[in-house]
Amino acid sequence: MCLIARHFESLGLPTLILGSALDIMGAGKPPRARFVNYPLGFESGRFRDKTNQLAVVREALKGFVDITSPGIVPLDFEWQAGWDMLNEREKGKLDNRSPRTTEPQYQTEDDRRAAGGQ
Amino acid sequence: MKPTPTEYIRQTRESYEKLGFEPYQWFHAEDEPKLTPLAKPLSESKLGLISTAGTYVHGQVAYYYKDDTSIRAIPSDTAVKDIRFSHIMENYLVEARQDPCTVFPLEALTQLESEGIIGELAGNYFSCMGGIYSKNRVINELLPNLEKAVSKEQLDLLLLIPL
Repeated sequence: MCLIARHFESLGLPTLILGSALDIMGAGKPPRARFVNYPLGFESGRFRDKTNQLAVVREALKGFVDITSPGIVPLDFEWQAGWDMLNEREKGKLDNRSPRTTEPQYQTEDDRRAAGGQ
Repeated sequence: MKPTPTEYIRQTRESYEKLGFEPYQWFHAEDEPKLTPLAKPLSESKLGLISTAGTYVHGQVAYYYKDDTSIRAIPSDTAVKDIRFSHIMENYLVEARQDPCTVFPLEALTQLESEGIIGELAGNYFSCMGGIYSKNRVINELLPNLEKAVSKEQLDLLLLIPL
């Protein structure tokens, strides 16, 4: 995502990354980024928690104004739902992910039919 | 005490090795980025969004997992129930597939526009896949695809949300 951000900034469009992988973002030296220390998959807020989702996005967007030199500024949200559950979730499933092929990977079979069965 | 940020590069390197995948090369920037100043306040700006979570809409062709450099336009008034994800890191999308707003904040952005915090939202947001092995293909295929699409939206600001 840092490549994308840097590309659009070079074209004159201000960008802001909202991300949860601090090491990956840091390696790419983003123009403006807010780091939310939530597990991947919750970059814009907690599961079925509309209040938290709105708060995360609202605070993140302030970075457009507040970040005046390139860098990553942490957001002040803490993940309190338990990292152990998520770490457990990730175990094993990494080994069962869908194949790395050029076949479209639909979320549901109904999606495949709706897209014309491709 | 706040939890230490997860070391995703190390974790993924280890899991890819176990899976027999080729080592993934994350982008490492050598030089400092350009920072474009804002031309006007957020409350007067048109905001766009790019997601790298492989987001698509019910009815669109899904992404594939081997270096897919295509993009999808996601109309910003799409119903949340029609948002889908196809991404090589699908194990991180278990919850997002039930509540897409955890990675694709359609509702929050609409709410912030209605409050006047954001001046205007783009007609279309855009998505693509992360995890593309070839940096050259990102630069020569994905970036031009995104640039062409985003330029039509005439944006003042661009929010980027990686998976």
